Amino acid sequence: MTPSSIVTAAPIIAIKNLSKTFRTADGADVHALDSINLDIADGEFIALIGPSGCGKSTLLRMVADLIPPSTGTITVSGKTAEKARKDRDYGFVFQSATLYEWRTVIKNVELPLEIMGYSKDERRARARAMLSLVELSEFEDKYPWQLSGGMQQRVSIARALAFEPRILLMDEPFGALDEMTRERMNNELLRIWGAMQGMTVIFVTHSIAEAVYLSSRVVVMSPRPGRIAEIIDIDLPRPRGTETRDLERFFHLTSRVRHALRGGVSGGGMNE
Amino acid sequence: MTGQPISFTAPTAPTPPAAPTVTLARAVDAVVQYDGRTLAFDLIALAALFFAVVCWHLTNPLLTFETQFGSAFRNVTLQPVMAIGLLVCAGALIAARRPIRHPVIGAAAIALGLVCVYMVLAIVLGVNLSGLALGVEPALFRERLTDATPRDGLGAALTLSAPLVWIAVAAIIILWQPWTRLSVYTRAARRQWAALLIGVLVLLLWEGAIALFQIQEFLLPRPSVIAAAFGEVYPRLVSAGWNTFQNAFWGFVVGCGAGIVTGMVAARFVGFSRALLPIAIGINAIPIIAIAPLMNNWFGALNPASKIGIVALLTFFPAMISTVRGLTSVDALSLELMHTYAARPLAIFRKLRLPSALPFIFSALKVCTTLSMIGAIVSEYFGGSTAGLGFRIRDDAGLFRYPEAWSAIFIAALYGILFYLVVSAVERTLMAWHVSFREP
Repeated sequence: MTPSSIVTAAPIIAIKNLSKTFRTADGADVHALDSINLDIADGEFIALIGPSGCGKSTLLRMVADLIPPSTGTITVSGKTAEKARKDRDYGFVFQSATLYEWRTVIKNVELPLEIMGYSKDERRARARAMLSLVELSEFEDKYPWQLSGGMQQRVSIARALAFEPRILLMDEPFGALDEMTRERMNNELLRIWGAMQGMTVIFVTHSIAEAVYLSSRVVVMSPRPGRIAEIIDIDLPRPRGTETRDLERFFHLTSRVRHALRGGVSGGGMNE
Repeated sequence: MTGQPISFTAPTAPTPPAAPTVTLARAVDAVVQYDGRTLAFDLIALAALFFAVVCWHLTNPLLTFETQFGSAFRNVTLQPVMAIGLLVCAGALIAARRPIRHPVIGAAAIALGLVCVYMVLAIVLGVNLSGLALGVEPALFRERLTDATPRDGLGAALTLSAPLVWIAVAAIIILWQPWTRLSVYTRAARRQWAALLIGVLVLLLWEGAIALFQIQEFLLPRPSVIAAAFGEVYPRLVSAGWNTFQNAFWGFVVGCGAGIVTGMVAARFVGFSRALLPIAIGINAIPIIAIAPLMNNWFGALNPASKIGIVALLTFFPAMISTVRGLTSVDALSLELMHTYAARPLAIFRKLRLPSALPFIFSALKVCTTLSMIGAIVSEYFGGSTAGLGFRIRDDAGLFRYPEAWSAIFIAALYGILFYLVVSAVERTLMAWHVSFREP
């Protein structure tokens, strides 16, 4: 595993010896994840990448306390994952926008704020601010079905950010979008991440280019059982933009991730 | 999205209302934009208005006194029908939310409101304002008239109150504005022309086949004969239908209400619903109408409770099963979203489970409107009040008055359709977001 220069202070998320075993309907045990160790520093943008079935979504869901680990621990700023969830430390963005179809766009963004007991005025103000951040202000009274897929996903990002969580967990949020829209959404996401100062992001994807373009570290996983194959530092300069994708360093890093995904020895002859 | 190289596809939303300099044509277009939602409200308003006018006609004590039926068909229960009809009409017109604003429309709304107040006062509190002004005994408006009844004051009071109904009708027409909605109706008619055509064809075939094959009237009367009989007997059928509809309605309220509440409790406790649901589905398969004679035994045939009980029993299980299904078949991701907010069960219920169960609940309620009319009518076949529609059908059929029996069946269908329309209008208002109501 590549030691990262970023992780020097106490990590905001510390994953130790994490394993997950599912029992299938016919009684067989499936090792989804095996001995995962990962420290994530405050303010990092982590991309989790791997082939289907490598357990990257399972790992994200365990961090979010949506499913319990079999063994091992997850510590989030000194607390258990469950405590962190109950303290509302997480915003979660699913692969599908998961907007409630009976609510207008702005009411969808207000949903977490309603549940967390914010006052009516504050709900409106925060939801408006978040919608202007994702540049959907003029659509606040529309219903989700009146929006395109990319717009719906931006609403769901606004909803996840409305209560200003410290950690944003994203499970293949742009997986259902076409390539052009996805690249635009990547730029949007980096802009939003810049606006939400110090927010930590864990981003699950199966697009190599997306992982390299967005993140500060790419965690490459291998399947059966899910393991961390390699962690690759992405030292591309920020702010990143369309021209970043044309840098030689970008091609270099994507091919390193590709090699790591193939399970071969990664980037032999690299300068690290 | 200015200043960004982003252009997502524009949403397929209705175009915004026209500019401030609105010509009438523009305003009409603006109305048409909102048509799909309001068409159902128009239908309900019209049906309710029709009902109110028919009832007004039938409740005039002098008129009924002078008809050949005498006072036998004077039915005070028609007054509530009229009041409810008018209120439903006003409600549907208000709910349709027309975008045009004008002082005349405001005045019409106020006039309609005042007439409604007058009628509600007369019917609920027994205070007939016009009668009060002329010093007529209030009881005269409710009791059956005899030859000995002093009719002078009553006649004057009725003449005084008659314009009120005309004012109400005029106000309704002003609020309804049919001339601005002609294109809506022609479009709806164009969409339904095949159904209309088939309906007319069936009637013609029916008429022709009976003439051609010389089918006896006791087997199947001609539509024209039924229509003629209907014109004769509709006053008593409307009031008989109202009596039966009340049983259907209260049975529906009790049955569906209890069903929904039980469904909510069952869905909350998974073990409970697992134990209950198979039994409920099993009981639902029993032809419940078969226990109507037993209900008569328990509550007494003349007691409306025996009819309401049957209807409640008929509607309870569909409502309960659909409620459980709706509350438990919630999208898994939507539920996980709630968990990421650490939402309490009550918040999950109110903000997720209940809204996503509404389509299930309403489809059950719509089925139950029909079930409740069936239950209320058929249970009267086994004995009950002579004032009900089921009794009328059985009686007319038994006395070889087949055209009258068919007329009664037609009235039953009208009540059933109205009930269904009202429930689907409520559905439309509560679930305007739902996929089935989206404009193409």
